[in-house]
Amino acid sequence: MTLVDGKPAGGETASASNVPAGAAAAAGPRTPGSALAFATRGLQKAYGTTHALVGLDLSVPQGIVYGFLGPNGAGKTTTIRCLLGLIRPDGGTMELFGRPFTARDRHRLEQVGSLVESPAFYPYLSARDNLRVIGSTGAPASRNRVEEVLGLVGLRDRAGDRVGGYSTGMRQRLGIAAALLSDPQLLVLDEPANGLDPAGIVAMRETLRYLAAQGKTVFVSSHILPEVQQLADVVGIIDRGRLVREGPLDRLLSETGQVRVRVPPEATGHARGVLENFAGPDSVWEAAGALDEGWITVRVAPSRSGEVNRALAAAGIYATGLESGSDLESLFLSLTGSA
Amino acid sequence: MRLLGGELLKLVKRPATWITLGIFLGILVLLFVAVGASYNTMATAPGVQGGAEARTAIRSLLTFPGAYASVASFVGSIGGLFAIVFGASAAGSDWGWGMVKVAVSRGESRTRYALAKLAAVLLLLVPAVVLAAVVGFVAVAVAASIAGLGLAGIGDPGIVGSLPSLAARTWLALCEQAGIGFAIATLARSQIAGLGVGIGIYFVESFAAGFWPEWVRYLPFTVVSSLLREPGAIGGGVDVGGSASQLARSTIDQPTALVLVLAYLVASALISAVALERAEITG
Repeated sequence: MTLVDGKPAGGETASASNVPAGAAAAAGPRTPGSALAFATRGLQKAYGTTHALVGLDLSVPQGIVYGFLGPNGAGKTTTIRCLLGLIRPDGGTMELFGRPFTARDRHRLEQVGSLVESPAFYPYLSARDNLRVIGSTGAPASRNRVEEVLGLVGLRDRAGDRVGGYSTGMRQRLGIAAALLSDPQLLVLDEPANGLDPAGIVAMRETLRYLAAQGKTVFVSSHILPEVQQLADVVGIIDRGRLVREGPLDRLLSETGQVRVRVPPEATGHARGVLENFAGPDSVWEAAGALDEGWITVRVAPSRSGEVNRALAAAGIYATGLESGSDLESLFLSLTGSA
Repeated sequence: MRLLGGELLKLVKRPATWITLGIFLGILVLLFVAVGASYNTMATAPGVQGGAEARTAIRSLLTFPGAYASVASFVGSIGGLFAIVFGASAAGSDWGWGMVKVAVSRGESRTRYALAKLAAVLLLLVPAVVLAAVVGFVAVAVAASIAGLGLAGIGDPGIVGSLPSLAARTWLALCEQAGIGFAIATLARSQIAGLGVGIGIYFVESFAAGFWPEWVRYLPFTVVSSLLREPGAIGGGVDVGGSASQLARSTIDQPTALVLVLAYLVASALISAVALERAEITG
């Protein structure tokens, strides 16, 4: 499995680190473990008079994909910079793998792989030499490991080419390879899908899911909400330097999910009563438009749409239409006030 | 060693390294050959003011064994400008390309990273000095032949025996100047700033030497000429033609110069390490 066009790149050979076919799917649904890979308590950081973080509390369980969301300027990149020891927080504490993490513990970042903002490379060096140079810092990376990660991201055929001639997507893939170089326990990726084509995005998603299934923690900051929705187990939403919501994605989505049922117009009043009994009076409303006549919306998890239908049927009302859905975008917009 | 190997790899494969060296060697050859060619012109052109003095100066530059010191002096002084460029670009480009961020976020020690990078720069100056010396000596020999001065004294055992010491001092002189460019670029987090400020200080110091030579002789770029002076050698030094009193005012003894050069180099390394330790890496 590679990050290129969803199929192995030419000349690529199977290696221990390559994702086995279907492995991501086989990993199945994951539940967050109790141990934390990374946590912050009351984290603060200001740039001059601008307060980027104002008491951020974040808990990233081990072995999951954590989606870190927030509008521009919310403090996502500042949080990542603090975690990676690039900047010093003004206040608060951080923990890495359950132990306090301060500037003195920077060597522990050898267990962390990262891609922060845009990927950085020496343009005059080949991809292979770039990885060798990067591998000379921090945790050691063998020549074999360099070849493995090049194969993983589908760049083995172009590994001898100068990075200066790479496309944005290729640089992004090489950035992910660099992040994986030391086989880290925690992978921190800032907008990893930037510049990737659709096939590359799918392949990256499978790679990250596979890594999580292997027990690694993947921390993804992204603006692409549908991508995070497909990828993350746990989501944290940050706004103006504070965490405004954090939790398993399923639970958060159930809070914003809804089921719409269409009933015969003459049964609307009765149906509404039945559904209010089912979900509570504040969770049911009728559509106002003429085109939506007969549609009633119930705020429940989409997975409960069958129960909604059953409740109506039990009352002798047979739905002529049923829709369900929930999306991270609605939750994000409602929490960050961006709507 | 792993870190040093990585730093050497990227410097060796960097085109700017070879372009800088190539330009310097080109200037070295051009200058000596031009001096050799002008020797005979001064002899034949009527009405040239100070022609005899100029010919004496040229003869001292191009005649062996003193020519060895001429080359060392040239490499240590003009080559110093290129050493500043090399040191500044090695440090500054990592900031520009965002590679400091990559190294630090992988858990690399900031101090070790800065020192390994500087060590790689200094190590690469060893072959650069050897190559510059070889090219310089060949250029002087060619220039001397053009001028009809001959190569007598080229194998003078006394001077040839001291060449390793002269080469080592030349290398130290370049290290000191590269270190200054490196430190400025690290402080400013910019290659261009390192180049501009480093070269600016170089010329300000040279200018100030005309007014306050007794003070400027202790400064980093001027002290190099004292370090490279070959005691008793003809033409050894940058102030060929200067009087003995001028020479005494603008130079210091070689052991003191050596200590000062080492002190400036160590200070540059410390400044670089501290600057990187304290830096907030936001780019």
